[in-house]
Amino acid sequence: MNTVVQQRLDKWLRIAAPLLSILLISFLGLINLPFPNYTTIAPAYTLIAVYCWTVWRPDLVPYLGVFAIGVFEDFLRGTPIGAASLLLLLTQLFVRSQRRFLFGRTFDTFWVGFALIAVAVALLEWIVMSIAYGTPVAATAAIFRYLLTIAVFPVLSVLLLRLLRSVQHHS
Amino acid sequence: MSRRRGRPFTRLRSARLWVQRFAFLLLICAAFGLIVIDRAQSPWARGARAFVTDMVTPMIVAVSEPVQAVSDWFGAFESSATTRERNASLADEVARLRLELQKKAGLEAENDRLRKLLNAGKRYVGKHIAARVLTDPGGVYVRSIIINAGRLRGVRRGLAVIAPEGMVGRIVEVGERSARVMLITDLNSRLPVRIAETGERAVVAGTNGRLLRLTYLAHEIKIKVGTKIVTSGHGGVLPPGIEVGQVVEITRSGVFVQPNIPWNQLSHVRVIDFTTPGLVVQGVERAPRLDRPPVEQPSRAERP
Repeated sequence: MNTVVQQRLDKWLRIAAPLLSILLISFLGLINLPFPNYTTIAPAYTLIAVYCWTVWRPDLVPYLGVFAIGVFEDFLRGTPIGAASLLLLLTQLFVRSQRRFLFGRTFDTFWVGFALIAVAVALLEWIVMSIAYGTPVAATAAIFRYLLTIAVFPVLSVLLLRLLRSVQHHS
Repeated sequence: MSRRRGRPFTRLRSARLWVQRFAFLLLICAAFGLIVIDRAQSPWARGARAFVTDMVTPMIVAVSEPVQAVSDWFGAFESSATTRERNASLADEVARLRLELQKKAGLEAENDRLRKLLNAGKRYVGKHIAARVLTDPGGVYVRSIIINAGRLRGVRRGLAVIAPEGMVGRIVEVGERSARVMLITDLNSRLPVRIAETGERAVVAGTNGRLLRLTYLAHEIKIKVGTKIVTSGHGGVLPPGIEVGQVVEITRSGVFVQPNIPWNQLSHVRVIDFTTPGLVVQGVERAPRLDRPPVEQPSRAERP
């Protein structure tokens, strides 16, 4: 009986691992690191996680889950509720449509693909925020944030890849 | 008969398939709907946000503690020369502040005497609530902080938040134990101010950058770099005379003010309830009727 419960729990955790890891990364992204002006230019960790998992296992990253994580992030960041959800969903849609060019390729292609998608997301975010606030918002911090996100991508993606391997190894 | 019984199930299944097929579009519409509801200042959105913040902030603080501890540990490795230099500078500052305090006490006594002569009553200083800055979760487009004082300690939406250096911002969301402060640098922030030397009124607006923009300034007013800007007290929410910053840039695109607050070192603030009990002020949540007195008692002094 115990084995059955354990097996079910194990299976459930493997299925939920991508979403749980995105939620955890979103939560950890809210922590202030002791660098000057860190919060203003903190990398878009959630975007990296959504991108990686959508390329590797799109079947385990449902739209509804990503939507909920976006709402959670907006609640805590103080940004217009729904804005992060909108951006993450559009990222997912775009990555799914281009997956054949990204999945199973070299790391460089995977990284360049992210850089291109991240620039589109940053531009879209600027447009959404400008519409939500009713005025064009300053973009300097967004440019720094974009560069920092690209720089952080290899580290976070390697950590997520380890998680992916452990999930697939046990399945 | 069995066909009839099967119909509702078939419909349910087809509806489910339809929802699955259009889930993405439905969620995109939901996201747009939420943005509209949020921007319409819906109390539902504010309440939900405050609730989630109240729940999650203690976890963020708990996780932040080790990070802060490591940072403090590295910060402790200062050279003895730096420590001596800092000690000397602090001793100088203490001496200067003592002198200022003596001067202030004399001026306050004189002010009270003159007020008594004019029969104007004592100055109202409001109720002060001390709070610690828990986290700064904002981002590229939002400038806000979360403090560890909420409704249970008498914090209400709209109240002013200050630090020893000057004006910090205003309360925008209140949970039971925490509250969100919109900083004066936020794009949505507008603050009624006056020019300290001349008393001319204006409004400072946040830009999401490091500087504030001085707006609604009369054309004939001559302003120079270094001019101090203080709160005007108009609107009945803020005490007048709190320092906001000083003018650092005068260009064709406008006059810009550098806030006094060292944002990276902001750790403690005070929430000021300057509204008269019972008076309804625009933008400020009405004070709740409390069966027991709040933790911090208001000053006995009366508003003029």
